[in-house]
Amino acid sequence: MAIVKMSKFNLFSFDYDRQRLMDHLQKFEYVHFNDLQENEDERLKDEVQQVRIPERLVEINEDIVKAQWAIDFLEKHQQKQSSLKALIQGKKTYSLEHIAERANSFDFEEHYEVLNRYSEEISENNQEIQNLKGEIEELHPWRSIDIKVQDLKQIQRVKTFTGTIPEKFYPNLQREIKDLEECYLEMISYTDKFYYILGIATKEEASQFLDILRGNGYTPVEIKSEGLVPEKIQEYKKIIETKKEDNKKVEQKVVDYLRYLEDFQIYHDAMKNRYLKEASTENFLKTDTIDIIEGFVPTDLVDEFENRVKDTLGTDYYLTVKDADRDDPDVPIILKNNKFAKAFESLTKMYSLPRYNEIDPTPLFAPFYAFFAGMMVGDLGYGLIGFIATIIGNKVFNLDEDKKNLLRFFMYLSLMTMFWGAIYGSFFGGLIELPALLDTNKDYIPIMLISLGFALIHLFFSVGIDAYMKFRDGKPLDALFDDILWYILLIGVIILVAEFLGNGLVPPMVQTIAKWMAIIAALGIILTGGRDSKSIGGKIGGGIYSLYNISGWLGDFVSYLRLMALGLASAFIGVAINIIVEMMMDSNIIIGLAGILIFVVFHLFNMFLAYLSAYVHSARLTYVEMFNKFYEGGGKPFKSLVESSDYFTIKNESRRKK
Amino acid sequence: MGEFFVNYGGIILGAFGVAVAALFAGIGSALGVGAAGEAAAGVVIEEPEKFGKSLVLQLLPGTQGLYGFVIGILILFRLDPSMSFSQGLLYLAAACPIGFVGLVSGKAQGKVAVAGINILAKNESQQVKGIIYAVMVEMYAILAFAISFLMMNNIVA
Repeated sequence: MAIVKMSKFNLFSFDYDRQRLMDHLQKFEYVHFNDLQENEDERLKDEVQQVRIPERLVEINEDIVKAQWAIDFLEKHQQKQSSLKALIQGKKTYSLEHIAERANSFDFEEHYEVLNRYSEEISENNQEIQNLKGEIEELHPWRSIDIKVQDLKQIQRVKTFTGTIPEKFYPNLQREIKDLEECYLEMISYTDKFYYILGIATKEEASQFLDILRGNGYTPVEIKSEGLVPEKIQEYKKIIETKKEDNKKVEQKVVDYLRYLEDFQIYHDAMKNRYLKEASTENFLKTDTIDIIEGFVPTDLVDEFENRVKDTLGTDYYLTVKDADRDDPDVPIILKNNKFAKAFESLTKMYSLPRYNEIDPTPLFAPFYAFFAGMMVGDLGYGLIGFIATIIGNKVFNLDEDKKNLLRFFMYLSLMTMFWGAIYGSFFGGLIELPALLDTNKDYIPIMLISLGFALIHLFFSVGIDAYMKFRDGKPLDALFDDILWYILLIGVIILVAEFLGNGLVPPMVQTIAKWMAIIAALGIILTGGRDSKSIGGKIGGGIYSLYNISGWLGDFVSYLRLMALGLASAFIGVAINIIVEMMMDSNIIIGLAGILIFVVFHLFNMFLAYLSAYVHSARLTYVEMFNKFYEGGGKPFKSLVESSDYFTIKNESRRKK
Repeated sequence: MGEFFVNYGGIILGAFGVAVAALFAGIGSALGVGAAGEAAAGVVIEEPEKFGKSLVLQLLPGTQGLYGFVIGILILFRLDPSMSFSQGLLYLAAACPIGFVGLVSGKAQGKVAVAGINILAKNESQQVKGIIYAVMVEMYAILAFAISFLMMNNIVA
């Protein structure tokens, strides 16, 4: 069985032991708690309370957020040590104890404060730089005034005006001030449809002058400087430089601080695990003195679990462990598969985990999946590239479990792609002539029939799984009515269709048998399809509706035509690329070289698209056509007491051997 | 004029076949990929790390254009000035399924891809379901491609 067997436990322990118990269970890791608070029994309401520790959780969460901030802040200042190198090195492996110890000996608050101060300094400096740049921007239009600004304001006998005039009013303004006797108007600069002007008028005419200015859209601007404007700008620029220098120094300090990055990561992970540990207790119920705990452990770890509880609590507890009820929807699911099927587990998880009373579909669909995906790509060259890439990736990089599985998954797909490429005789869209078992140019009808043949095998296999599950569950009649009758009906119908298409293909004797098979099975389906309904009408209606499902089967079969179509599409795109490149190679050498580039880029693109289509369309055949027949899913994932980490591989002392 | 059509009508109609296949399927894919790309760009503003996954969703409506291209190029290779009028018409007919289904399904798949990108933005773990929804639409483009391909191959030279 590919679903790991579970045992359910009930544990009563003293409330004051809770911390110690949780510490030890976290080291054990493989405990999944049931949420007792969710389905709390109404009758117990008065006697028991829920375990609630919101303040502690908030406190720990704050630390997690802070640590995350520190990590992000430090990583921003990390040299872009290529992510490739990080991949080659891989994650370090630490035990949970090691992480907890190191987190304890790390003075997080102090180091966090330091970083926080650095960050504030940097942002203060940046703020100031921004402000100064704004000032410079404002002064910029006035830089050609060649006397000191305060002198301008202090001239005794005249009044000076500085400000902007919209471009379109400027000629009008010039005309109007000619009426005044003694005034002076100078255009200092022009930007963005505005003139920056300096006006001077005698005190007597000042108000008149101002009226004219205002009439022409004048906006006064105060020059925020005392000495010469260019000098002021220079001064600001100098300050900006020093601020930038300051920032560099601070940033250097931050870079020095990178040596604590790992400590921050450790602290972060330690806090996350502490959070998980504490938050798990919110599944419990308690009386004044006793904690009520319920949950699941994998059956093969029950002994170890019992020993640990005993070691921790001595004699002060009450524990019962029994095999989990098959139909209990709360049983958490762990999948356990061999190396091949394990690579496909992510697809199962993506759909939905099986419930405890179902079977793990992974090993059942995995071979089909790889086979179909290979058929849809169907090119020896593309397969070879994929295969070599995954092998190198696995050798060079030090990857964690999930990524390794992903690579292995692609390796299987590329192997099947090579297999089908050999059958189709296709190497980079026919770059090299290969003998083809099935030629995509001519044998499209056989390829189509083969696709339908695979459809038949795949679908019948899926129905077979359903039948197996029903037999296993002691419901052989259900298997007969829902699965075996359909086998008979479909075989009959397929023989009749074959005769219809290829007149005289089937001997008359077989035809007659097929006809009766179909009729009897159809009657059987009508009679039994609605057996769950209570009323006679419901039974008949349900039966007819069941038989109507045969249209669904037609759709299912047609769906497998994609095996042919996608293979052909990617093959012919490859052919088209080659033809274009060949034409380029035949002309001069420069175009020929460009042709080589086009060959590489476009084949890579086509390969990428072909793999992508193969990936999603095989998933569709699995999820829709196959799972429809036997699989429901909806199982809960097993929540262990150790968080997976972004930074390390966390190994526990009693981690299961996978 | 009439004579011109009698002499060259076959290849002209065949060329229209090439155009219909590549043109309409291409338009459909362009619309679909375009819409999905806009949505994907919106997601990447806040979460640049989702680029790869959004790219997958964006590319899904792109296949119609490729199917149309394949049919177009296969008909192109068979064009011949000596083709009869009826042969040309048959090639044009063969191009129609992938051309028109490509146009509509590309656009429709683009909409589903946009919705899938929504899933990616809000609930990344369920993103693959968005891909499956989009692939449902593709079925019909595949069927059209298969019919176009079979029709084209059954035209006797």
